[in-house]
Amino acid sequence: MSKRRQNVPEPEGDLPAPVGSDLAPYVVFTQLKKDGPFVYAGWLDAVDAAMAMFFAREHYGQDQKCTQIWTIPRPAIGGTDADHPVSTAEGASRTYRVFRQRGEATVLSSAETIDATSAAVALTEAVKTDPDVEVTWVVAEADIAATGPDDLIWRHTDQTYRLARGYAKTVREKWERVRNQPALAEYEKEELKEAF
Amino acid sequence: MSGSSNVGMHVDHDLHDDPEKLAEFESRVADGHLIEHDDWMPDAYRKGMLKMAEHHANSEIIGALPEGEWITRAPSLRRKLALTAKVQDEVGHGQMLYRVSQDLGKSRDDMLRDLITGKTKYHNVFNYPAPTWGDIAMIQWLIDGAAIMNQKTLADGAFGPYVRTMKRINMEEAFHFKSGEDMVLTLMSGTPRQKKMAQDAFDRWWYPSLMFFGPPDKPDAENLPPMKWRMKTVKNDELRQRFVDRFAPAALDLGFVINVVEKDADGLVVAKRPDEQLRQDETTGHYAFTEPDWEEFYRVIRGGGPCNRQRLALRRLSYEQGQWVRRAILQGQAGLPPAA
Ligand SMILES: [Fe+2]
Ligand SMILES: [Fe+2]
Repeated sequence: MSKRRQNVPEPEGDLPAPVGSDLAPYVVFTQLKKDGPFVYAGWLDAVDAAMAMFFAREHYGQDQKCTQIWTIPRPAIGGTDADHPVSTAEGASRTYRVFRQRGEATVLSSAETIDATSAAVALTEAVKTDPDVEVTWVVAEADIAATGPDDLIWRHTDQTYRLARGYAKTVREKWERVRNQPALAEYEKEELKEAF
Repeated sequence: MSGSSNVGMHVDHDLHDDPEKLAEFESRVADGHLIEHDDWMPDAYRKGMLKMAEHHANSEIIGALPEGEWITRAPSLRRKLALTAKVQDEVGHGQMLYRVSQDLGKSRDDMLRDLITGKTKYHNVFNYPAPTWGDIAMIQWLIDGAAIMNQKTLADGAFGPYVRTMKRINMEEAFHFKSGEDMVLTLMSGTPRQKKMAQDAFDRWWYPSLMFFGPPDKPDAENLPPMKWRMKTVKNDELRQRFVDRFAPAALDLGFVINVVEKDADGLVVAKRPDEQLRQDETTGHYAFTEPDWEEFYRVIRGGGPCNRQRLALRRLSYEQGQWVRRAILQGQAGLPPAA
């Protein structure tokens, strides 16, 4: 422990003035298998796309084995849910990625792309294609930041120290030894009596 | 780690709520639907959920402090890696829960500042000291164990964002608990000195872990908003009983003596005697036990615990030392860290 931590100074005066706004929210999707869909992993706060990707790799990329990560600024999402109002602004045709959540107990995952002149048009079409879902999102492909296809995300070293299953075997063995100890002591006592 | 069971949860119906909307909300909750943060909800529910999620988030980041002190002193490289990952997980839990709270309408900076100034609280259990490696083993076994039991029931709640966060957090808690169990098993199969270290730590942590589930329930707990609205789903006393039924026999198997203790102002045990109440009822299967000292519990909540001052002073130091980073990224101001 550092000296600084051992002798934390007695606080004095007011806290420094607040710096201002919170960071901006980014939504993170991870691809668990090569060529598989990108599934919703969660969200995080960052100041820009580069910082979002850096945090996403650290936080979500190390969570479970994954091959690629997408990060999306939250305002870029147009959805059928109230959280993500869809933009009706018309422009040149763009490619939109569709995400669908099938039911309450499932997570959003990526599906086909649609070319459209606005997010609202893309969303309407995506809903028409597959209406029986919980939530549909569309995001312009240009707004999705992605890791490279050959990026190393999951560390290829032994990570079992940070997983429950990394302890299952040794814990079981140690419990067996602890629980057998009285029996073992009893047995040794009996054996000693017999032998001497 | 952590959990939000002992947040002072006083939630009242607001007389101004539209009775029709309130009835619809309550029937959705009763039918097992999840409430999302943009759904209509009683004002008291929004405030109560914010208080609960914020308290939980505060607890996660303060809870990392006693364990963080031991990273440099871990007894092996694998234990050091595991403890580092565990502390990182806890701070990550804090991040996730601050996000849930932000969606309920409070900015992260306000939450961090309110924690430091004492306007909001964190879990009582983190006001106790961790003087030995045995304490680290006990925190991961007993406190993370208690946190899993509590958070599993919170994952059956009604508020969607909080429920989903609990599910995710619980996966990581399983690692914390298992590695704690491994450490306790290692100490209790070790030398007499290791066993003594573990027993002393057990004496320090057994009662804080029983208090973890919060004070005894009010008689009509089921009908009060926190349970009626499924912000929490199981009563404190019931959770405490489940914990004792699970951990008392395991502790006895390991060779621990379960003691009733007296502590000094530093949280160290000055007197102990075996808990004479502790035995299994043959008909119900439940273990009887001596109740925690609830006066101590309230004293610690009010700031009179052995480590309250130390924890908040360190949190404040971190906040002040991080200010230049916030300025740099939020206002684009170049800067240098303050001299250490
Ligand atoms: Fe934990
Ligand atoms: Fe935690």
